[in-house]
Amino acid sequence: MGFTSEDRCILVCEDDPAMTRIFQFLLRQQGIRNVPTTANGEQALALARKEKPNLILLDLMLPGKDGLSVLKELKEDEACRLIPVIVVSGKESQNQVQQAMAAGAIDYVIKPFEPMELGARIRSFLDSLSAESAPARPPSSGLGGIF
Amino acid sequence: MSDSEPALDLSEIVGLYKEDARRMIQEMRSSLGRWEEVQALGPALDQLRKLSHQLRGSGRTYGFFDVTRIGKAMEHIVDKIQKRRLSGDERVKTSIGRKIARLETIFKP
Repeated sequence: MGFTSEDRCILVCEDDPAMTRIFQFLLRQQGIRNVPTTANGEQALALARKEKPNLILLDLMLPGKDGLSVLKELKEDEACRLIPVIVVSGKESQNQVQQAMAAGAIDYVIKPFEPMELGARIRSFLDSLSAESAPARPPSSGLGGIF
Repeated sequence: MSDSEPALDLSEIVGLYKEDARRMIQEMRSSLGRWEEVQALGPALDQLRKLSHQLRGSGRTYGFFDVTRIGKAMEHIVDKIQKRRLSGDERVKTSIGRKIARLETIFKP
């Protein structure tokens, strides 16, 4: 069964409204309309558990619970651990990158980034979802078994 | 746009970005006006750090290369103040003030 962009849900966790807007713009260009957003780490966890998105774009410097803690909690949560996470952060030290990748991120994009490049990475990821049934979006209400 | 154009046409959202940036720069000015709070490592310093970090991250992404450069320099200074590697004297305040003025020029309506 093929998946259309409309089926996709991508959660954006970012506390800078300017960056949230550019993520929404890039995702809209890919035909993705279901883009819940949050600027808060605790809410990021709650939304991930509720929406079971296909992908999470996660900033590290979030107010309250920081992004790395959010990532670790997601990976410890049986219902969320398979949700792929791309970290998008201004933290550029090798140590930060290693910590995020060790915690289970599938990619690490350093801000500032070239929008076309991030768009291409997201496109590539979505294409991989279309080409194979896994990694799958964990079942959510009414969509059980599709992802 | 005062810097080089981004490779992707972001014109649909650049106007909103400029509004965001102007608001952030106003907040930076406000924080700079509370210099004693900056020297005491108080909320004004945290605010300067957060805003310079955000402008560094968003500037070049939106095609404003100088904004990222200035934001990075400010973040570096603020980080040094935070770690007590730089005293928050008048010279430092003037330096930050000049950088904010540069940002104001870039986003002048």
